[in-house]
Amino acid sequence: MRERTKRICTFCPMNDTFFIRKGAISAHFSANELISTEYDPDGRGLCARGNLITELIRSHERVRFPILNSEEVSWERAKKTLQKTLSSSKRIGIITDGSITLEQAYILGELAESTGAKLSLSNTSDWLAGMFARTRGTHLEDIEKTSFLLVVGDILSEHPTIGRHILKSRYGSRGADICVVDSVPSRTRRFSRTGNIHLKPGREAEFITMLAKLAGAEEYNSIDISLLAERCGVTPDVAECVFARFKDTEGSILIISHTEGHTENIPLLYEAGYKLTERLNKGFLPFTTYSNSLGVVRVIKDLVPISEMISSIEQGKIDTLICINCCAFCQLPAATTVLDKLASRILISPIRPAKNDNYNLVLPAGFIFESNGSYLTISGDILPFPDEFAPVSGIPTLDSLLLDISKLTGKEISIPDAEKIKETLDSFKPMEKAELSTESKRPDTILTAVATAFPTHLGAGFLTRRTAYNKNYFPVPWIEINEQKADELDVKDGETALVTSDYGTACFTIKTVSDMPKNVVSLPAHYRETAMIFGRGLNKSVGPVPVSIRKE
Amino acid sequence: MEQKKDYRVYVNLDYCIDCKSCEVACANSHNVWHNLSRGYVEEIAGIPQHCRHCKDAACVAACPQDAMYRDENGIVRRKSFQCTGCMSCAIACPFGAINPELIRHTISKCDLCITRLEEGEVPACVATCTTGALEFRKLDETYKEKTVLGARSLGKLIRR
Repeated sequence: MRERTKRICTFCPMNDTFFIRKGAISAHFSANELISTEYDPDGRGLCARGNLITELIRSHERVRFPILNSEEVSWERAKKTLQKTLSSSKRIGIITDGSITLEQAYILGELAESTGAKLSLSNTSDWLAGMFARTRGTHLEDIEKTSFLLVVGDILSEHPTIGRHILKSRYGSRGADICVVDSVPSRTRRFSRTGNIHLKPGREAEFITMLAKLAGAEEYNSIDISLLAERCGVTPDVAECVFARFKDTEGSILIISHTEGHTENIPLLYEAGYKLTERLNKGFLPFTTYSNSLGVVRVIKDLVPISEMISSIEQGKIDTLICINCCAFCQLPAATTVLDKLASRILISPIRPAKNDNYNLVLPAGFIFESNGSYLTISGDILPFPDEFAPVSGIPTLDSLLLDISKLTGKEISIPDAEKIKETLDSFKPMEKAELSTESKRPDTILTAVATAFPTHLGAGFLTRRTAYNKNYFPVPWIEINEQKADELDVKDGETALVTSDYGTACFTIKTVSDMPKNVVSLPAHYRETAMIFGRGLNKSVGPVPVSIRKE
Repeated sequence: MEQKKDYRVYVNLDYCIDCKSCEVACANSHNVWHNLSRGYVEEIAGIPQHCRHCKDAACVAACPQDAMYRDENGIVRRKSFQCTGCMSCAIACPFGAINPELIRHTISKCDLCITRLEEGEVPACVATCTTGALEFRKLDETYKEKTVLGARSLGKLIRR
């Protein structure tokens, strides 16, 4: 029998908060198991990634029993092994991703404190702490009320839900003007009257810094933006024109979508955006897709950067690593070289790890939406997950599993109440401000690779990419290159080419594009091969890198 | 079901952002394989290519196994046991709306989610469309709306 109940999107709750109020999403359950999800036609909005949760929940790769050295074992044996491992290890490292509730984050923080473990958020999210914590983002529904939207990056490819609101403002009674700023051809430009303002790769932060300087012109005696404009690859007139429109339009909003690798320095871009909007008192929507990252970085007190975690493993200070859910940590080139030094690796995940990942112990846990927790929205509200969603077939929730682990370590932790969570959130102190520097050492004349993904919301996320649909959809990584440049390099559409950077070499399928700038190529984000080219880790302040291409 | 007769999936290209939600929803409701494909315009826009369920369907005429047929509600459907995957219908289809189904070596064909229609719901792709680009509406309504829109745009030209 099918019954309906109201749900929210499970992958990016902080962006889909309005669905709860409208109650637009419905889910079909059969014997407490989700069998399908959809929206009411009036509400609209379950994106491709949201649709794929049914595939994940019903996936045959779901972990139902503990796996010890590739063999399914009983819970008792798994717990004994876990206790033995934890007691014998010198120091523990814990890495989690953003898809945990505020309560789970609190328990995790307490657990790390009691065991002296180093706790880190996945490489996709650790820089969010300072940037997002400083200000509240503009609510999505305000997008419809504005007449001018300044969009940095390709927001429509990143999230259809924001796309819906942009289209509402574009085709609504106000007929909003959309100005798109991007270094590669953005699909959002289709809805822009001014088209795409092409910058040099990785110069978006400088462009916004330039606008922020114009916004603060009264504070300075004279401002010469010609040098900055030249660096960005635009004329000063363009910058002044965009700025004038942004400043003069009532309620205009700056939207920044952080397609990884588009920018020289992502925190710098957010800092400039924050400064610009603060000076002009305009709306600011810094966008992220990463589940409850915003709440997690605020609740966990002593997060260490992912780079510190890697160096600790390398120096032998950490010998046991516990991974909560599958993040992209082990895909980092820097991480892959140090993982062998670990004595034991433990994974707590709803889905089995990939075959080439050697975990000593894998413990099953429910997804974020299978817990009775709360999460933080982009507007700063704390909202609870509805409690009708039980984990599949008795798989424990992450809360209960973490509490069990805390008992094994000798310290009992209780689930925090709402007041405790609010108190922790309020006591959070953001990182120090990033400096507004405009120096760049990137050469402009050689072939430069920037990372992009299409559509990001579908290709993003390790778990999402392991669904059957996506396996068919994204078979091989590709490289987008200008047609004329491809002819010059003697590579053709569909051929395989070797792409080499200072960090490594990988194979990509050539995809020629007519309007790509000649000295720029684009690689898909969230691919292992792309991470090899970008070297330092794809999702952490990655700028464009020089590459060379030759036919395989 | 009778109430939904002559209803078709209508694509408003202005609102399509190529997010592929419709494809995934289709795949979810048809056992992993999706029955709608997408056409691309200069890498800028992806357009869902639904089956139009044509009045004079080329795929029905082209099928050598009589696997393609039109049911009582006007929906062009496929008899899965008769389909041999010869791809004649896919070649005949002027819209490229029929794809090979690699799992069962047959073709995949939009059936307007007939089971959902029987339950009084709209097709899965329409239900999930994030921007409202896909609408499930009666053909007559679409014709009328198109006529009005055409007249308006002509009127603007005349005024100039």
